[in-house]
Amino acid sequence: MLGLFIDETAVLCHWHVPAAHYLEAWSDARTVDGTAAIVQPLIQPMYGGKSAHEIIATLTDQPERNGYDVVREFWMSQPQGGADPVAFEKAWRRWLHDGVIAGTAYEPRPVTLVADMVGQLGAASAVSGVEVNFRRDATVYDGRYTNNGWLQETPKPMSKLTWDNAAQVGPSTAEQLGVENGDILEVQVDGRVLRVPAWISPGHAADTITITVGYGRTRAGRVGNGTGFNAYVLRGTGSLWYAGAQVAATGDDYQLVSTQDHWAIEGRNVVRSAHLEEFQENPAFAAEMEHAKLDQGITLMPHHEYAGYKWGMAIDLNACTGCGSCLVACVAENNVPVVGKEQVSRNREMHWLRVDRYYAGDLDNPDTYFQPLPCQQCENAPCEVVCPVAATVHSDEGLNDMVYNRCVGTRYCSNNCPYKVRRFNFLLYQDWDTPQFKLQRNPDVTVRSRGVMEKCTYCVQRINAARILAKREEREVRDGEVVTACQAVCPTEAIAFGNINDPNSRVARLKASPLNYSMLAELNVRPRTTYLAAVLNPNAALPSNPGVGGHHATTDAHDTASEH
Amino acid sequence: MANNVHAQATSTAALDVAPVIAPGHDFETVTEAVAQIPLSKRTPLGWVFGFLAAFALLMGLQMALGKLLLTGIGIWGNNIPVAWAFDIINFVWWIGIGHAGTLISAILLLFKQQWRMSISRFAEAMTIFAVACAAIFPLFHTGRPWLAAYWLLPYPNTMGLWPQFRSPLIWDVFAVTTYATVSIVFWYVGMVPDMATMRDRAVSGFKRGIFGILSLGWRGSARHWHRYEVASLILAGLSTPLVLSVHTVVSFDFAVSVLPGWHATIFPPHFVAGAIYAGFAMVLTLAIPLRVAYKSRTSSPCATSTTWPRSCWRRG
Repeated sequence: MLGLFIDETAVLCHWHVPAAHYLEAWSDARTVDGTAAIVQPLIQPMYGGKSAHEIIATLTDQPERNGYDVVREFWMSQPQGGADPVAFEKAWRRWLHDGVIAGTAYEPRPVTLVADMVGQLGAASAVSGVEVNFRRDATVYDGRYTNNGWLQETPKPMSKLTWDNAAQVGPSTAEQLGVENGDILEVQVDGRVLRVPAWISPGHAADTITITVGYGRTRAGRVGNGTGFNAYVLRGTGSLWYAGAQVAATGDDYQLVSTQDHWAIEGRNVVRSAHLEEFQENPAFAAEMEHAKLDQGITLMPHHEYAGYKWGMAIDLNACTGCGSCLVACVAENNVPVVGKEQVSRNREMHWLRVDRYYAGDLDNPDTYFQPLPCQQCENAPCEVVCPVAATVHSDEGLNDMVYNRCVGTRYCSNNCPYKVRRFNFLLYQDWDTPQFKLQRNPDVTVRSRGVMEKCTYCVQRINAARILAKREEREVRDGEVVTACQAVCPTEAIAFGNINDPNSRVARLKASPLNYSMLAELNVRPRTTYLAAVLNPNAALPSNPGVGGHHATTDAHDTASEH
Repeated sequence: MANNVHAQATSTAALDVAPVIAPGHDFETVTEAVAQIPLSKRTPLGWVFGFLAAFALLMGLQMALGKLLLTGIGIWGNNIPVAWAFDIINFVWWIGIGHAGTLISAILLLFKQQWRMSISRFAEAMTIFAVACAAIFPLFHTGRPWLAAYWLLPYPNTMGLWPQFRSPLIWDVFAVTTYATVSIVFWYVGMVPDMATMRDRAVSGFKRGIFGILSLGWRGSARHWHRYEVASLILAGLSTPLVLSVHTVVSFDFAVSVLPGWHATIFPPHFVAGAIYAGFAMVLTLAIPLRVAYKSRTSSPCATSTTWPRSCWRRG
């Protein structure tokens, strides 16, 4: 067997050949329209792996050929390059440069829509007992990413669970079963048994449970081994996606780690929303939902004027789907360490950006709000004045900078942070020894060691790179030139970043929206990250929940949100 | 101590207040009873055991701190948002304990309470050791104590950087070091005549030399006594407001924050009041066993009852 890892399949094989990763190997492939492309390696195989081409080549009469030769010889035999060696060499170089072989796209084929496709599908067959649904996992997918620490530590969008899967049940079903979060259920499908902890998910359909696959692997690797519960054991060929099951509480429990309550600041109108009619009636509703009105004359000192650049961020709660890509992108960009389940259970995850999830309204049919929360980069930053060694200071562009070398780790800045966005290296979380990690890290970002505080920098390294380029070209940094890592990956473009001093920048225009509000503005910390309130347009024929954030809805929303 | 008692006792007689030493004792016997303890040659076996127990505990502390330095502050279980827990609670507690010694001694001196002599010395010593214990925690609670040890101090440096003077932690550094300095000086100044007494009674040259250095050339002249009284009064006057200020500043660590639950104006008086209660309790915790122990060894020259505070208050 040829495989990247010694996984569950590999141990069942007599032979296992370490495969070269696709970024280490020569190959070819077709793009979506059929255009052929030459796959080129980015790096020498790190572990001496072999590509599939090289393995097949060993079985031929020329066993010593490497991947490059195999791919090149194949394309030499194809008509696109021409028969003449000189002409082929020229074409080959052109292909490598372009990445694709021009003119190899497939002919389009005529297709027609199948009318009444839905009608032809037929109704799903009913099941007896409780219905178990098998779903791909939000982070580890079908199990292929189980050994990926970044994804294991990424909280799942709804449950905010890390390092585990669970049997998700609705509140009413949980009550019937008599279970709470973490109580182990015994799920039986056709005699196949899985013991899996329950997790109560508001809005989950009654009398069904959902278990994601991809967990419970035994040979995933040093990160993924022993995490979660293997839902594949319940799946049969007759019940690929759902099955009828007998479910019973066992009385045992298991520690599930969810990050939602780690730094909860709910109850202070941090999330604001309104129905469309309310918005049309009062477009400035979000600004009026202040927890307490701030007296603008509270300070005798004038506010600092920021000439030049004034970096800021706006996050649109309407657009955010809570997928968590921003969080993973931030981890990758900023060398954020993975700390493991035990440390996460102690509120010590290092994510610079978190996505808070709030339920509002009826627990059986709640509205869900997602709120990405990076450092708010306060202009009156409460963290800065309390640091005894001045390790966190303000830049003249309004960034709340963290000087790792100066930090002695009193953690006072974190104590005084109203948003709880600072992260502390309580132990040595970075792996300094594994050589591969030296290649993996972003060279533009300091790798933090034990005993120092860290937090979101607004990707200051990207700002500086853009500034250097602009200076070299003797111009200002253009709008859209600095893209933070979280912004870059956001599939809905919920995050905007740029120079607020430029009234035409996207972020300045968003901040000028009536929906724009500052979280905890009553503290006079003047956050640079602001949010755009959500405007809901629910179907009048269906039951819906009121908006949140106002004083009328606050209690309900937070009572339900505090369930978990 | 004995000379001190002598001086105080003279004025006591003048004011016609009940005597603070037990019947059958005069200043000579009191001095003798006290001085023979450090000067007698044989160290009691109990002391050796006590010392060994204390030394074992000290080694335990060293091991714990060594583990902390090698592994990181995470072993103390704190997290975010509870970034301070065990460590700063202990700091606040020890500083609170450290209140009572100096407070008792200084206030009682200002109010001319004679019976303070029986407790002021060890109460002040307790203060100094408590402040030393307290100092461990703000240093070792940091992520990088090897840098925190001096980066919090304002000194000219090649980095061209001063500490953040707006941070309550810097105020803490000043408040605690000031309090520790004044407490140590107060304690030491009070001891000078007694060191001289020891010097005069010491038989071996080595002990005489040590006590001679510590007694700073004290000869017991009227001028010496006068300066001693003035210095004690000044130090008492200085340390009394410091007792209030040090825990007020410690409470600022919390009260100056912007967070709900931290930002509370009640903290300064709450901390000071709590500290004084805790400190008094610690003085009692030490005094009562001490009196029991020394009553069995000597003829208890200083008071008649093991429950000294009650009897003293009655007399006072």
